[in-house]
Amino acid sequence: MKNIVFLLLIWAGVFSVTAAQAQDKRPVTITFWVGGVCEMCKERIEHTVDVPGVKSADYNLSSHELTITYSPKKISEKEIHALLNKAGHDTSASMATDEAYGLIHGCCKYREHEHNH
Amino acid sequence: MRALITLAALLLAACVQAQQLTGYVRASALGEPLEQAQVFWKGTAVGSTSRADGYFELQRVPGYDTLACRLAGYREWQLFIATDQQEVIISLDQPMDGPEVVIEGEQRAQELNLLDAQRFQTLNEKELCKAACCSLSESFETNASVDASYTDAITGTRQIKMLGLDGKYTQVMFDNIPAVRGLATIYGLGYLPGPWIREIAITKGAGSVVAGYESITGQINVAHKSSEMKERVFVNAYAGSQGRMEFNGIFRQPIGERWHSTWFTHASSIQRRMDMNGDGFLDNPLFFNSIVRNEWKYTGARGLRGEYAATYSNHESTSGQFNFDPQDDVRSRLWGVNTNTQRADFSAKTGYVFPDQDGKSVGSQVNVNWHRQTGLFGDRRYDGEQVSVRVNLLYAAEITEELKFISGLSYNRDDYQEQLDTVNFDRMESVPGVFSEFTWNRGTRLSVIAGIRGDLHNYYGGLLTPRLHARWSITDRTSLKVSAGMGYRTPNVVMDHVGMLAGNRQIRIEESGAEWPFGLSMERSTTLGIVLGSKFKLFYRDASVTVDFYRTQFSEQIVADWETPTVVRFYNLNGESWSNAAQVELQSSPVKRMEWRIAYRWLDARTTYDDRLLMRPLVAQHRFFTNVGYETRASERGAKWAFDFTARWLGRQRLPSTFANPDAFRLHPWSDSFWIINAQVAYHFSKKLELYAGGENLGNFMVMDPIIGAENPDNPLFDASLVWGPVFGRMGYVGLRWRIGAED
Repeated sequence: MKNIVFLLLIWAGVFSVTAAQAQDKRPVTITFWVGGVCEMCKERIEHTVDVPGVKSADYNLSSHELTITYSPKKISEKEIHALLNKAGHDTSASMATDEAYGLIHGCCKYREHEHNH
Repeated sequence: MRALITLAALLLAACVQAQQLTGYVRASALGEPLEQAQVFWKGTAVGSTSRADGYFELQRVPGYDTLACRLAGYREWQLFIATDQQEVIISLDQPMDGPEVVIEGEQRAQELNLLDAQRFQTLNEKELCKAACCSLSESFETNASVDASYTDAITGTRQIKMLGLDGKYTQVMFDNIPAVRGLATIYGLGYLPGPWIREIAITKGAGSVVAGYESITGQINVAHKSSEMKERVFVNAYAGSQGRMEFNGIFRQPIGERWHSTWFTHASSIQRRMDMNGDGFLDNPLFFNSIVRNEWKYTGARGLRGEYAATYSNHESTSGQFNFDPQDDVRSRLWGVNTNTQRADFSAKTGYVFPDQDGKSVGSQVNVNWHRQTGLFGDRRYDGEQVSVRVNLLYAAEITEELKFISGLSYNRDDYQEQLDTVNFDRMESVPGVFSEFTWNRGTRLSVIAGIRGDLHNYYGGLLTPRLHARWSITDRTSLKVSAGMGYRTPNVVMDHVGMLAGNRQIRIEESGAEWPFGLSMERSTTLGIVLGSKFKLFYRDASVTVDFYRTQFSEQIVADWETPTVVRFYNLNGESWSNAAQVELQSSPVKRMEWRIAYRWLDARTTYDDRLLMRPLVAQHRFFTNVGYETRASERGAKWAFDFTARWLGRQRLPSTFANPDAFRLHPWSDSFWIINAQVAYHFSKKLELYAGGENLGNFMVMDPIIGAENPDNPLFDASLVWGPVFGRMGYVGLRWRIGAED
């Protein structure tokens, strides 16, 4: 009986460790703000994060929010923001360089829309 | 950092308030708020989407003053906005011709619709590109709900089937106008080239009463590409190893502010004689088709809309014994089929939305159609002509915010002159009718569409058609739909069963009332359906599962009895006739940019032949279907590869009895089960140009002796109408799609 309890305890211990590890490996879903105004932006944003490690991405044009599922083992949240910045899109964490922003299509100039020329 | 940006954004927002346009999108001036509506400046890509309360805000764009709003299921809205105007209320109206599903942005190729009470499934351009080509009947290759089978082993004519019943029981509409009717019931699907199609919407079960009483197993509405097309010119060319060449061109031209003109052209042909199964007969007919269509769309400033189209087509087809030539002398001629069909069609849709009045609108649909087909089937001569006129007047309004209705008057006239050898089947059907359809939406959870129509048929008297559709969203992601409705159809014996002319079967019509068309009664049926659909996450991406069950019960039916080999008999049903169909379909995305669908269907369709209740012939009780599509990640300019694979399995089918024949002319009572495998690879050079290549029937499965008595067409047992599988083997093709001109 004692042995069984002991084995069970070991099994529970091993299980909780592997479960914890699995937790780390498990893909994460986050939602954050990304600057964008039109269908073309949506397409570019979703295409930009279509990289290894990202499982799915959906940009909501009305809320300007990107919902993204990724595997933290393969890509970090910071890298995702960097990719978007490189493509010319500001995010809640970091901004695109003016050069990158300058390259996006005229109708996508989300910063101007807020400044209102 | 994040806080800083938020703060900056807030400050900016505060100081630009004055130059902003804000407003609300509503179902009518005082109606419920509409979310997810796209509001944008016409001619720009600057837009925004309305929130749950209908609210939106938008920056002014210098030089652009027409505001437009789009939402699936509503007419596009436009209004001039003065420079100093800061607020606007957008009230959207339901379209004149019933709820129309508009596909916006990137969508899955086949969309399961959870919100529409009637609509079952929508096939968009992406899906249509997966099939090899060609005509509408072939567009269902990648769909699990609609089957396409051959009418006979000689003429290469395809017909569709839904719920295990012939395509004649499905109402096919082009741009919401019933189109594939009467003499064109079977051939009609060949009159709409696949590359012209923008979208196909499939409704299983009883459809809307607005389109008439004819739908029994379902409605298929096909929308032309026309003005919604982004590009100015669309070109498609195709060549197949069976010798088929095809060209399609669509040219779109805005004319002035208000008009849009689109030309559609099509030419296709097979001139190469082939006999892969070695039965001495051509596998595919030699043919030449040409179709041209011109469409005009008018978008008025004050709620006036119009769509006017004229189509002309010409089809010539020759099939039969390998060296058959219709020009040869009658006595020495081989057995063959030679048909020529000409059609002219004119349709006009005009709608007017009353400004500032709660969703009140009026509309008219007028359709005039002329169809003439002459044909030689062996020694039999067929000559058919149909002139149809259809007028539909509609009035739509809201009673309360939750309750809307469409009501109207219709008149339908079909003048047939039909002659098979020396027998005349001339008839004239004249049917005035009235209808009303109520749509009741209780929040977003419950929606009920109840329709009723009354028609007065000149031969069959009064017809009452009640129909009901209801959708209950159990959760945001799971919905239950039920439908029930009646449908009717008048007899059209010769063209509904044109496959019977491919052979020497005698045609025997057992009349029961001399004053009726063909002396037969009208077909009357009730169809009930239940659909459970659910969307969920699988592999971190969207997935869905649908389970449905439909039952069609005929109270009166015209039985086509093939159970005696040398005869096909037509008589009024005396007993039971029904079809039960159940289907499970799973859609998911196991890998990024991959779509996978898998479906299984079970059918039990039975009819009383004389006094025996038998399974309907040439219907597979079990059917399995799978489709996988994968695309590589597109490059900056849109270059990518796309792969598509479809496999379908059909279980055994009951063949009509050939027991009375001598041994050599008997078929096994059951067909074999078989697989059909199609695959396609496409390379997109950019968003504008793509090349594709593919193969059909890669397993090279063929029915080796589909024709009974093929050696001697003079034998009374000669019969090509019992075809249960492909007569043409493996086939390859290449093609291109080219979109030219600016997207505006």
